[in-house]
Amino acid sequence: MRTWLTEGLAPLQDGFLRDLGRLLLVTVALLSFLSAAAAWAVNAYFGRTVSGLIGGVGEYDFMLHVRADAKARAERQLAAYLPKAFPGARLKPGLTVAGQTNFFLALPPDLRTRSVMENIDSAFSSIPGYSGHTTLVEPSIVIHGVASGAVRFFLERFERLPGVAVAFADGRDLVVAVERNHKPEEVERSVKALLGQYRLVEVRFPMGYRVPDLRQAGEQVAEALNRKFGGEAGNKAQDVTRSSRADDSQSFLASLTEMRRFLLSYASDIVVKMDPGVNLQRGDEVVVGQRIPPPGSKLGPGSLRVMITGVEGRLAHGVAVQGDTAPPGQSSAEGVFPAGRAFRVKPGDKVGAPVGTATIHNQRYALMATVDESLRLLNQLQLLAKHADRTAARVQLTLDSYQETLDRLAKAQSTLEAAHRGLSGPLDGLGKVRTDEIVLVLNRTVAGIDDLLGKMSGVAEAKAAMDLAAEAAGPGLPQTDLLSQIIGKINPVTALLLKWRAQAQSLALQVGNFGLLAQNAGGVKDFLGDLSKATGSTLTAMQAIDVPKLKADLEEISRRLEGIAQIDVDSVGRQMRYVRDSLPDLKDEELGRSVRLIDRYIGGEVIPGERLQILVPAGFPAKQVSAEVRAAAGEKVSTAVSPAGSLKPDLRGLLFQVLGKVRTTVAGLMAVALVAAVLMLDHALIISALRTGWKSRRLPRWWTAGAAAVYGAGIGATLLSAVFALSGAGLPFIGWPAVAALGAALGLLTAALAGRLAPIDVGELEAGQAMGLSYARMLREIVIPEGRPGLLFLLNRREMIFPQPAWGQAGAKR
Amino acid sequence: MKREPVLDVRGLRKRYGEIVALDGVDLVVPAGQTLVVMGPSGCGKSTLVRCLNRLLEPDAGEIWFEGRNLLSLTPPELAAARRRIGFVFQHSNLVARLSARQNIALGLIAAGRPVEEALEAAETALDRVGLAAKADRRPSQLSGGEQQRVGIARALALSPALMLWDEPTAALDPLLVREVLDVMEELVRDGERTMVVVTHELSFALRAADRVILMDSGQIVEDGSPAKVFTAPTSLLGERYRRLLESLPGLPAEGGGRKGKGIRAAGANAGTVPRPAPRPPMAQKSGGGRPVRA
Repeated sequence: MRTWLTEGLAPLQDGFLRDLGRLLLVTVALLSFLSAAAAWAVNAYFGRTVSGLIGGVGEYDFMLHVRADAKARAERQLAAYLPKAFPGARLKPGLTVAGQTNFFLALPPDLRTRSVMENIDSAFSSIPGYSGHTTLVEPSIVIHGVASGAVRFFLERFERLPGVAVAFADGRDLVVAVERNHKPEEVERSVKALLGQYRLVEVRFPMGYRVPDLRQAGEQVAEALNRKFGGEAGNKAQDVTRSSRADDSQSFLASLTEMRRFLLSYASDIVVKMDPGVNLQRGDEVVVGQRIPPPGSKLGPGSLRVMITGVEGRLAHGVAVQGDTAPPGQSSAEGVFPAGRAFRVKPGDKVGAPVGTATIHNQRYALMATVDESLRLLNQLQLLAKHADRTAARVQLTLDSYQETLDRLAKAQSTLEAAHRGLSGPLDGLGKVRTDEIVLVLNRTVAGIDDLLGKMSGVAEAKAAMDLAAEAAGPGLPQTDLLSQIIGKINPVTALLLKWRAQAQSLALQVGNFGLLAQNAGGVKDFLGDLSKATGSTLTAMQAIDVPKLKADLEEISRRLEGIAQIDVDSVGRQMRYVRDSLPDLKDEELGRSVRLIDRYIGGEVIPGERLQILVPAGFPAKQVSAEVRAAAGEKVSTAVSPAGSLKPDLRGLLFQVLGKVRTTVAGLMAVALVAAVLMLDHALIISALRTGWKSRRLPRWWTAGAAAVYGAGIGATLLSAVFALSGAGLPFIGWPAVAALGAALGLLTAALAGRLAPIDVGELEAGQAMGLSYARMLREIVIPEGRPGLLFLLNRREMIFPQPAWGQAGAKR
Repeated sequence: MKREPVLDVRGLRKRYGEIVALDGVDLVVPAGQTLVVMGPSGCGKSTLVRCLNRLLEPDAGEIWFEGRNLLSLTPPELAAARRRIGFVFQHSNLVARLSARQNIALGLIAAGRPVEEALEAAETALDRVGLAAKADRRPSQLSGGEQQRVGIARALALSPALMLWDEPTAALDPLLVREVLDVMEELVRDGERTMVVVTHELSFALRAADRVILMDSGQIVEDGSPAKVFTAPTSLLGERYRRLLESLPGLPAEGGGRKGKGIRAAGANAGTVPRPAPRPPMAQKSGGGRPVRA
């Protein structure tokens, strides 16, 4: 072994080891410089580009976004508006990207207040094409995840921290602007420490659970926590619940749930009444229909396939996921129609065992039937109103006649009473009875009664027509009922009038025949007495009816009926038909598929219900806080304790972080490329020469190959590691050991290919040996000058006895 | 008077894998002797001569040169020893980027001579081989024979005690062989140094060798004066050489060599080859007869 080492190291003697060391030092220094310079150039270029895009560090406070088409107008207005609204502010037009042009705005220090910073959008909302802003305040610390109810609380405290110029809310983030003369790192530490003093306890109620007063509930929970854990002021829990606040995902999930509910309400609810012994579960599928192929058969494409969405007792509810539930004929007003037997769907889309009897409940069909019925009724209603109006008119005439008849009857009664008194004395008193007058009065009264009865007959006729229309229209109008009541009050008088009329006609006949009167004066007297009594009772009955009131009621009825008559039934009908026709024509199959998709998306996620947010001091023990919250708000609530807020890198920081990565990566790639080049140009030659030297010595073959590999790997690893370290290079996902391994791999590759990369003229070497040259001298005088021009070639020039005159002579032999 | 041996080789062995190149070679070369090593291709003669200055490392044996075993020397000692052993290669192996003069001076400078002095010495060496006028030419600007003569001058410049020649004319165009052989014969005539010459030049062996050895399969099968080896061989190979000699016209039947004894050819057609006559300066263009090659 000692011999191998001695022999192996022999070629490196006579100063060549020193040459090699110098080469390595120069190589590392030069390559590090070149890598760092390339990285710096890239960094400078991209840094300038970024600064052009979003301004220099801390140069501007905001980037105002304006639609590109409104750029000129916006620029003009900004030029006019800015000096008035923000005196001392600076504006610079920026680049136009994706149809949006940007203006950089720098505010003077006195305007960098929370109020200004938070209302920048409203301040510029009148600028044409204004579409928002991006905050560029720097140096700054951005905090996100702070509960909206705690924003003011934290902003006030941030502003009290040393080094903070202003703190303001920027959308959902909080921005803490750092004073120029303070180190952002120090302020960041303070902000972190402040946030670290608090935790946010989120209390969620189960879905569907409505909290009547969130604020009150929040305060109760906070009080409960303070009673248990709280101490002096500043160490207390506080309610920061904002009921209106809901994050995007919650809103989205809630929307999906609502949509699912709507779809389910719109889709046919297929209810399967399960047969005894059958137990359907949510998610099962059945096929429903009047003509289902026998069990074991394949389902046809038109089969109505139903997915069970819920089970209530022995009734399973489901939606159609294939086929449609169009009713066979006219559906009932409730939208319910039988659907036949239901069979379970077996794997392979085959018909399984029967599971029950299905009915289809479809609100859409019910709605359509209702609209149809309403349209029909609307037409009937107009007819009814017409009949009612006519009836009312006739009742009006009847009432007029009624009053007249009443007067005539009163006159008839006085006449009859006078006649009756005349017949009560001696016979000569008969001469005092004016029979012609009695007959005239009676005849006039009878004629009045006939007229009244005739009009009442017309009323009856009109009412019959109205009743017919009302019957067709269903429930009818309230006015028709009132009319019927009026008619009903008048009708009983008719019988009395008819009776009186008959008596009056008889008396008139007798009185007209005076002879008969003379022979039968006693009978006439009695008859007169009876008729007078009948007239009295008729009068009493007729006077019991409050004709003026009835007339007033009738006028009101007429007025209302007139209002109905003025309704534009055609227009209403058109609108109703439009509503009917514009109902979404969604097929059950489509609805079922949508429901299934939503189910798959939300994947059983529970849509959160109401929630409370309580800001608690970090010292409150998390587990016990949860227990106390449950005790205060109910066992069904869930609690989550999270940080009060977290810091996030600002946009520019991120950008420069990326640029930093680019810089180190460029340096890394440069380093790898340069090291590979150096290995190929310089060290391949050295390896080739050493190998030739070793071959001529008493060394085993494996030693020669192994030593070359060790040399290559060692040099590669050393060079690459050193260049990486000095140039600040780095490669993504690669650590230092991997860098060294990469260098070693490059060195091994160089060692393997050294013979091809740098062939050595063995004859010249032998000549050198024969002349007694040392190995180092042979390398300097013979091998290196004839190798490829590299660092080794350059450094070797000063070591040569006969220096190379120029670069052009390098590799002259080849 | 018995001369001290310059070179004493004992039990030298060298293998290339399964092939035995040298199989226990013992050889003593006295000072001033011109030893010609001959044999068929692959018999081990080049291996032998390259082992003698450790261009090749022998597997076993000893090589005593000027009282020191070369195989036990340190690299600096070996380098010093090599400077006492000149070596002329089959190809000149000149350094392509250097001029003829620089090629020669390189060895001198490595031996510790100042550059200027080395360059002057190189000039002198070049003058000896008749190439003083082309001292600044690079190898690529010289003919093959000239390159080989520069190679000889390079070896001579170090004033070696022993000169090893590894088929110096084998790679040359036949027209250029003569000028190299002339130089070699001139050196033989000088008698200043011991020479071990591996060659196929039968005429050179007959005219210039003090001693000839024939090698076959890594062993010396004939060893003696040219007359003895070529007229009374004891081996099959020697016999083949004898027959060859007989078949060639114009070769000396007896005598030859520097001692002027000549060689009597065993065959009827054997002739005589005139021994080299002194012809200073050595660099003069050869005008002698056509070289005869085996």
